[in-house]
Amino acid sequence: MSQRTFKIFRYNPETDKKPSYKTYTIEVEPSWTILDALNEIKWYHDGSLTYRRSCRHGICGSCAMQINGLNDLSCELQISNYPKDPIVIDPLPGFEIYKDLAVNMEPFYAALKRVKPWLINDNPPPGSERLQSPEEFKLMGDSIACILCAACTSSCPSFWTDEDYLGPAALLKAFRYTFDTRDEGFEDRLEALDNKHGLWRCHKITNCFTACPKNLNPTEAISKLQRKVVSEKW
Amino acid sequence: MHYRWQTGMSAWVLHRVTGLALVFYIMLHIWVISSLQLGPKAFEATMGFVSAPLFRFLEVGLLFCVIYHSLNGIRLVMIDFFGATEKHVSIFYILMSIGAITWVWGGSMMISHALHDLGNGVSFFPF
Repeated sequence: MSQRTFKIFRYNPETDKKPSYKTYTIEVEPSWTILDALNEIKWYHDGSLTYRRSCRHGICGSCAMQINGLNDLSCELQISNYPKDPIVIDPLPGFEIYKDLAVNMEPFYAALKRVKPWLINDNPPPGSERLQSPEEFKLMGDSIACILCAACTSSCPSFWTDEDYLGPAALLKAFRYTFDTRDEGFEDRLEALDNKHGLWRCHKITNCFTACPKNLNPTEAISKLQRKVVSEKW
Repeated sequence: MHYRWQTGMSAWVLHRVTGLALVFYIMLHIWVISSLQLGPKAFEATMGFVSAPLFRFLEVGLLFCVIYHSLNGIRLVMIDFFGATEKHVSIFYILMSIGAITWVWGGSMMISHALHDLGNGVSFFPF
């Protein structure tokens, strides 16, 4: 056990005039993740601390937050990755704050819906299912592994300044279906993609690429989609 | 709201700043060239105005903007067309090293011209 200090963003819009930071010094085990420390604080030190978490295995995407200035999953990062005290924890930037580290994710899901993140193909499947070769599967890259944690979208300066911007997560999802050989919905998604709040808002800042806890590459997915839209249209 | 500065974000902000500076320079350039409409004497007067050492020093800044904006533009083209996202930080520093050498080389020549003019008694300011 060792003592570590956490400086955590606190804000309750119903009672606080402005946000503040509260510092907690607790005993931690060497193997603990940031999420373990948050649980320790909430369960044994300050029950009013609010944050989202669920699976604690890096799959549900609930516990994305900003840790020492960068977005990441708190359940995937060990405290030992951060040798210096205090470890500063903030909510995901760019979203309305419900309370402390819990933010309003509705704009994120609304953007996702705009790209129709489902398989579009009106033709009946040939045989029992729509088959795909390993080569065809590779066209989608790792994009199928997105867990929708919003770490990428909330790290994007273009998203901070344009609330209607689809954001890297929704665009990655659009890439995932556009480059799925079983999908025929490119034209249906084009309206959402091909405008100033879609593909063309991306300035290749690459914050999304560095923020993704699954090591996916939304920047490259956006570039590929941009090239496809240009080649299909012109 | 805040976020830790990283290479990509810093490069983007500087790309915007140098881009705006280049737009401002192009306006100035058009204004200088447009004095040709008023005849050779007016053009000579304008050119005399912008040849003062003050502008030579400002041109060192202009050279920075041109070099940075074009080299970072190459990095963006590599990200957009050649899938270079994963190596974009290395690419940035390689290009910036080339840029720094070019800037120091070009800038030192411009400054030496300005210092030469100042040594010959030319006023620093054009007025």
